[in-house]
Amino acid sequence: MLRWILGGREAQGSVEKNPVLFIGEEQPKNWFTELQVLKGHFDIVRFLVQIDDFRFASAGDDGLVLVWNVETGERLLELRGHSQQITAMTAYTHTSGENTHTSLITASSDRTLSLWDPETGNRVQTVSDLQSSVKCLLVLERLCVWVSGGNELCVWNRDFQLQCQSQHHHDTGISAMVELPKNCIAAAMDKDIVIFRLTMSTGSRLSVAEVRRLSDHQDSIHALININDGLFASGSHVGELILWDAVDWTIMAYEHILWEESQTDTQAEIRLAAPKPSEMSIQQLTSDGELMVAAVGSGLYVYSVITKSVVAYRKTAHDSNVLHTMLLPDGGLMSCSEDGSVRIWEMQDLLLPAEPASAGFFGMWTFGRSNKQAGPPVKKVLELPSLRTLELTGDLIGHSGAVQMFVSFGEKGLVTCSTDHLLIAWKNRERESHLRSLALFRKLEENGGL
Amino acid sequence: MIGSPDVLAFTSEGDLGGYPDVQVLPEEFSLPLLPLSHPWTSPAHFNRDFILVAEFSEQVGPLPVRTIPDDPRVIGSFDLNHFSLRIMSVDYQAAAPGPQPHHQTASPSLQTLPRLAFSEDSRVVLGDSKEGAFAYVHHLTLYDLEARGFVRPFCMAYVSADERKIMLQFQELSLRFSRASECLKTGNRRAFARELQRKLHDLEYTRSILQAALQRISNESAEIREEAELQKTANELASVDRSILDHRSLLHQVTSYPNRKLKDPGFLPYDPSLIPETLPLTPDPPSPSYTPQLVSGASLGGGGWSARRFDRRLKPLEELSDCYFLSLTLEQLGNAERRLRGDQSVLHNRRITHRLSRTLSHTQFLFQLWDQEEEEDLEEEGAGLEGGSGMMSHPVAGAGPPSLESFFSCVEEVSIKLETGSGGAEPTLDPEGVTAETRPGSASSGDSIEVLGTERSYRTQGLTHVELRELSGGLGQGEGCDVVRSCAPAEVWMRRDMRSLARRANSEDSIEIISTSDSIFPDDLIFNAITEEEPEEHGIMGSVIKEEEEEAAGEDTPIQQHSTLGIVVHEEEQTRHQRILGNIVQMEGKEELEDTPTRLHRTLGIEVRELEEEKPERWDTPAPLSEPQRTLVHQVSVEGSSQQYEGHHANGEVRGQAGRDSRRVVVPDLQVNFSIPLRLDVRGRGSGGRRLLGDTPYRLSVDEASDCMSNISTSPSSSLPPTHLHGNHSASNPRRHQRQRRKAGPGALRFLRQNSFSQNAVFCLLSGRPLVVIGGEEGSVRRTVAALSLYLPSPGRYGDAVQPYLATPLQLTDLLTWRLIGIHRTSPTAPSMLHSLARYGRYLAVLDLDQRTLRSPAYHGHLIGRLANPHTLIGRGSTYLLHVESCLAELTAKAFLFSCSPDLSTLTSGRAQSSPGGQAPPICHSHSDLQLPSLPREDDDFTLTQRRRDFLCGRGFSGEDDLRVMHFLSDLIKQHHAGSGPPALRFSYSAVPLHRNTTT
Repeated sequence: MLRWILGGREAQGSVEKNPVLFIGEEQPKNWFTELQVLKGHFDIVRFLVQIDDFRFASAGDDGLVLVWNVETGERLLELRGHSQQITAMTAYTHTSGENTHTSLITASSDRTLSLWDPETGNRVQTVSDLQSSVKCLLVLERLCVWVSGGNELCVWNRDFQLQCQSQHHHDTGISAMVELPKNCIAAAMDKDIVIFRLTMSTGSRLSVAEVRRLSDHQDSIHALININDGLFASGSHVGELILWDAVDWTIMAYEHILWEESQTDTQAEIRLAAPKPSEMSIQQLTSDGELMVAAVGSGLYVYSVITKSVVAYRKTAHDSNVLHTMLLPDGGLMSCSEDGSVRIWEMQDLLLPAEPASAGFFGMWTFGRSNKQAGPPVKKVLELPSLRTLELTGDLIGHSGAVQMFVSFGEKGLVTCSTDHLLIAWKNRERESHLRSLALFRKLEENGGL
Repeated sequence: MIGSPDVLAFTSEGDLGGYPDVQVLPEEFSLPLLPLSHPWTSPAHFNRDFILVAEFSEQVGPLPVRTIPDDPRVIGSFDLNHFSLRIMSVDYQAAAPGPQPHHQTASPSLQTLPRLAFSEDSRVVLGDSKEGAFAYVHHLTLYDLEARGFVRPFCMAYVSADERKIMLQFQELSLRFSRASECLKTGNRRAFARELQRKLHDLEYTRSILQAALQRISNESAEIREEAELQKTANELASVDRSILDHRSLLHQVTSYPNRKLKDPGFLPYDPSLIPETLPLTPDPPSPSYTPQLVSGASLGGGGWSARRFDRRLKPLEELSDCYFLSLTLEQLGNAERRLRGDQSVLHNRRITHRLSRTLSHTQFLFQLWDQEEEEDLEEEGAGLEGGSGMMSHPVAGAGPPSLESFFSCVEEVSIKLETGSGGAEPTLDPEGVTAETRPGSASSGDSIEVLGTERSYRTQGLTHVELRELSGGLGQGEGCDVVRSCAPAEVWMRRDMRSLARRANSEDSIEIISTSDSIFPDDLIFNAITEEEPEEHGIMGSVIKEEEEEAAGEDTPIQQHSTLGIVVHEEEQTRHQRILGNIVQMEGKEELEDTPTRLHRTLGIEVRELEEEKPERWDTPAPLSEPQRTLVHQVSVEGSSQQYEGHHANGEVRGQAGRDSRRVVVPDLQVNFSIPLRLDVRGRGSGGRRLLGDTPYRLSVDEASDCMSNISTSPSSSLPPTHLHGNHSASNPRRHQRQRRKAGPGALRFLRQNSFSQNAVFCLLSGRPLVVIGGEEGSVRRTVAALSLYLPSPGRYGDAVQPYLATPLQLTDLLTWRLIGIHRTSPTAPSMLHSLARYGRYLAVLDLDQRTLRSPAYHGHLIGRLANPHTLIGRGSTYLLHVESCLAELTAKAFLFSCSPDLSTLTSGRAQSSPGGQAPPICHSHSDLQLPSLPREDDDFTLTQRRRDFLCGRGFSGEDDLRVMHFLSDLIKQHHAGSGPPALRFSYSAVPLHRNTTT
């Protein structure tokens, strides 16, 4: 076993001890200086899906799917049809010739699946009377099919015809799916990761079969992501983070994140019982192929896939559970939490690299790739220069409930959705002002006057 | 014949030979030799301008019918009866009807039938200098079957203490009164037609009875009856027949009234769709329940010209006109009164604001510096007023050039016998030289016929005013029935360059006719209105304050200002003299003026010569020529009386103020000592007690002082009974808005004075940071919110962006809706409220009234310093309001420039840009497609930015904060005109220190 015992360092001690991280009002690096409140939902908004570079869809517990224009904040469409809460939504892009058309697939607790055309708002296809409600959706663009995961895994083609489905699994059902090479799909079912393989039989008929079941997690798996072509990762409720080889499904790295309570307890003390499991629960994982961010409890954990080592971490990044994270292109990251805030972090090199981070804080037991079960754990002290700190550079306060998710449109802004039924579009005031100027000038030109 | 003191108002030094170079001085810059009197007082006994409707009753003579507003406090101690006498004894017969024998010979059958004369209204401005009352008088006649000649002369007069105001507002008065009059007359024709029909029914019924009787008599007469009986009945029948014919003729005339005016949609005084019956003049059939009455012989003569019976009750106005039209008329008059409320400066300001604001409608939404509704109203009226040609074609024909055609067309069915006037102008050369028009004496007023001569004359270039002395009595003193009217040549009218002051004397009357209707040009009016700069305040102040206070406090009782004080002495014989100012027309251009005299000579002939003859005399003696002693005497006496009224009026004010001071809680440090010289030399009949009162200085709080200033502006006082019946509710909102605005002025001034951090608060509002006012006392929270709302940009048409009392915990969406929020600290939701305040603290500024603190970003700049200077020397709230409005207007203009200039609007406010490294914000100028063409690309950003900054610095911007204000205002403008989507909350991450109030 290989574990991380993460503890506070001296440099961060003061911050870490303060449960409420407060940045203050002056945030020069925070460029979100304008907000728009997008109203339209009547219940918790849980999902945001980007359609193209200026449109996105939002869905939530009210069964509504709303399509918005992020540039103006206007609500473009209101897709009504589901009678119960939306459980999954994804964009479905298919290319016919030169035209790329993006549709929306939604799944709801009313056991229906719908395909929407976000141009017209029409409900193009719908499937009802499913055996179970779908919890996750996965589009396999290569195969021109999409997969729904509930208590069973179903494969559908573009026209909403069921191609094949797996047998009924146990009640927990599939909570997450990722696409793997060689037509494989990894699906998280409670504590297991099940690998399915799609095969094209004669007559272009698809079939799906379970090929492997990976049972290395001790607790239910909350997060399952693709990192790059060769790796995928999963995180469990008790803080287990496992990197898998995408081809042969072996463990590349196994980390158990423990937020070390006591600094005096420096060495190798595995205190499994000390923290509550929820504090270590990995709610979400995100990766840009090199770095992986895990939302662990109310903390953040940045892991380098390449060096297979921790890069930065902060135990108390939020006042409450972190629900969604995102790596920013400039090396920062963003997180949102149940406490209603969005925080923007910057990874900074340690100001005092000479200061030793006591080895006890970071313990790592590395298993050989093949000897998962056997072999003594080899403890490595992390290379100190590689460790960086997460500095809070800004926060976005606006929601009065948990921020469920956000989606970024780059410089056009950021959209957050929340349990307070609202969406907020955060933008750059300078840019918006400039755009408004252009709009004004354009209007002046068109009309020859106001 | 004798110049009254009022002449002084129109006399500049040039007239008296004081300065030789006065000729080059435009009249606008020349000062009267002597100050009139105290400018804030007037000898008038009424407290405010009002509209008087009077009638020349054939039984009792002139009598007032009603006033608008119908409030004794407005009228004060003014003698309405007396004034009615004066205004009704003027020119109303000018177009009065009479039997028309002349050109009706073509239809001999109608020759003996009575004719209705559809006379045109006449307009005249006259004044009574002794009373200090001047009036625009609009004479009209209404039809009444029972009246003599079927006509009842009425007039509607706008009575004001300021004759200049009347002159300047003549055009508007004429337009509005014409509409009202047209309305009233339409209703009257309906009522008259109805009455005629009823009468016809009666007559026909009577005839049938008589015929039956005649039949019976003729049957019986062979045996018993005498011939006399038969003859009598036959006569009666013939008389009834005749009467029927007469009435039918009348009915035909009245129903076939040429409605050309009503066809002009622009003029239509009413909404035709609102009128239940078909219009215009189809008389209603008598209701079935109506039973015809037997018409007695006495009234058979056709009503109108039968023997008069003086015990008969004359119909009141309500019966003379359709009730719909009557109410419409009154509403229009009420509107006119409301619109013209206030003194010249107010009207002048309003007009200028209106004229300027029309071009600024793109930014009006920002601070709503003028009333949108009023704007629309003005817009509608502007078509009539400002377009001179439109005016001419309007039925207000009297204001236009009196061409021969228009003369015929406006006095319809009245044959006009044209005679060449005394001037002897050649009719062929000069068709407008109809200097005299002789009309048959009007049937209605043969006993009191006025002789009026209007003489037009001109000033030469060197004179600012030429006072013309009329040929003594030659024209003016005639006792006959002839109305002599001299008209100016048409070219001169067209040129509009005439600047003359004609005097017309009527020695037997104490009425000054300052102007007749055809002497004002629209352009001149406008010109006057603009050049007239001197704000004048009238004695209406006192009453106005009183009104305002009553409205504000709601508990005051009307202060009896005049009931105890006014001892009005009417001595008609004192003011025997009068002057008639024909035209006081401002000159517009020199070059026009230069060729005036030549044409003058050509066209005016004799009169001009007389003018020249008189000139030397004028120069020699300031006193008028004829009866010089009397003039002097009267000057003195009139002056004395006016001074007395002044004092009396001042007393009224003082009393009002004193009463209020005791009632109100006055913030001590806000009291201002007014140094209005109340010490008046009360000569003549002034009593010592009054003087004592007048000597005491009085104090006003800022509120009161401002109220009395600002109240003169637009809004109607709600304490007065509403005179209009069809008041629409929507109009009340902007008015209320304006009213709140006026009250916000002193509040804002107080806020500035009392809080050291006031500029920061204003900055927050102007830069779009929502300001929360929190306090324990609800009233003070509301007051502060109202005061600060003055600075709130884009408050919404109905103040949508202001929430004076927020009861629920603050949410983010609230910040997008409201930018000025009042919160009551002791409300039950206060704890959660405070929590939400803390949460959204970065977006807010919090003004705590209890602890006198403000948590907001600090302001460093110059822009707001002028706007909200705590050390301002402005003492009155209303003055400050004007100051704020002008500052805001300037700011608006800058913001507009800022948003419409590509170079400026791309200038970033700096903070985000200046942050080095880190997460560089995606600034837009990195994209070439967003690059504006006007931006020179070779310039690097720094110099460009620097240039822009320099540009702004030259215009009073001194830093980031000023730029931030500009950005916000400019964003609002952009959003307003080109924006889409939901509103955005713009904010900045800056420190929000807590400012404590250091002002004690």
